[in-house]
Amino acid sequence: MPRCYFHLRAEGKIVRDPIGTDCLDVAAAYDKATDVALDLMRNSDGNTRLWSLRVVHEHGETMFDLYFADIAAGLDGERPYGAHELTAETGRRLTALSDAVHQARRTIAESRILLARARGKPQLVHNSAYRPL
Amino acid sequence: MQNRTENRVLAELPPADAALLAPCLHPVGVIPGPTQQPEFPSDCVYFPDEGQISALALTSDGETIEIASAGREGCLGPIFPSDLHDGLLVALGPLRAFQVPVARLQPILAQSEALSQALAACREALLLQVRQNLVCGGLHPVERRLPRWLIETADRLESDVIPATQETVAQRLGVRRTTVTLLASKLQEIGAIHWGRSRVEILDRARLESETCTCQRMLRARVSARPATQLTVARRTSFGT
Repeated sequence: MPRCYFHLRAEGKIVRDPIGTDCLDVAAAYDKATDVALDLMRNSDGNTRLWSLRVVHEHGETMFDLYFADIAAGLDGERPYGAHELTAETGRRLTALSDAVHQARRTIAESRILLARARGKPQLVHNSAYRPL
Repeated sequence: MQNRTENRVLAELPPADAALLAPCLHPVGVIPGPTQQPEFPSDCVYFPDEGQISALALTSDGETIEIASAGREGCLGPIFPSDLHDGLLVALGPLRAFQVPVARLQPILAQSEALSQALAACREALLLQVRQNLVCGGLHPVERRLPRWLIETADRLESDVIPATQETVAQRLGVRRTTVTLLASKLQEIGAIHWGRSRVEILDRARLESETCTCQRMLRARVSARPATQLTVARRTSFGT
């Protein structure tokens, strides 16, 4: 059974799942991700509707993104027309923005390393905060 | 052979009352090491000397949630035969406790006013805990419930190190293990805790407390403001085993 990792994107940050869970297939991983999203959304304020989970296979490839807003559509009952779609779209854009910010930070970190190396100075070669998912 | 008890309820009983109870007390425990959680009979009252014992509710789907817990400051279990006692009673890591069957407790309660008062106070503290856990589970997000559980458990164990895996804590909070893993990562990032393989260490208590819901402070205030049913005679007592 392959191991899947459920990384959380929340408030512009990436919270990594270092342990992972064995899942039979994509459907099982989706069910698991839904359960985790429901745990995190229960009794929480509206901000969690903008969170998402990125499910990554043990081989490193992304299996899927689960946007909490898509699940919340089934929980919140009646909402003004278009509200769910708007929240879901905002969640997706925030994820894209967070990805772009992480990529930019990674580029800056790599540039600093290159510059330090060129000047023959000590350099930081690893920083997990800049590692993209 | 005489055994000193670290349990405050037992230690504060007057010697005559302690002597009445002593023949019914049976030492039980969980030694450090095993990962399996042994289940204790639920028709007994437990007075922990060391560690924590908890009552869990179990659903037909096999899901669990913690109802109430006790460390050496109190006791856990049905004090009267009519008290509900159908939950799972499990320890959290190593445990040393005295066990007394609820049926054997009744004649002693009739004879000992001191024990009746002490156990009435314990029963009230347990009910306050159940009430607060109901509020917390029904109204608060798991992001706040996890820090609360860590602080309260550390207080009961009187230690900043809690012997618990993320799987165990997930069973106590009634959520998925991955949910606890993600929230633990968040708490580790802010330097509040360090979660090793099977133990959590609280590194910054003030930071962790700032992440809890209001339940932790409410419960602490309510328990300390209980009516003065506590015994006035506070002394350590020896128990024959």
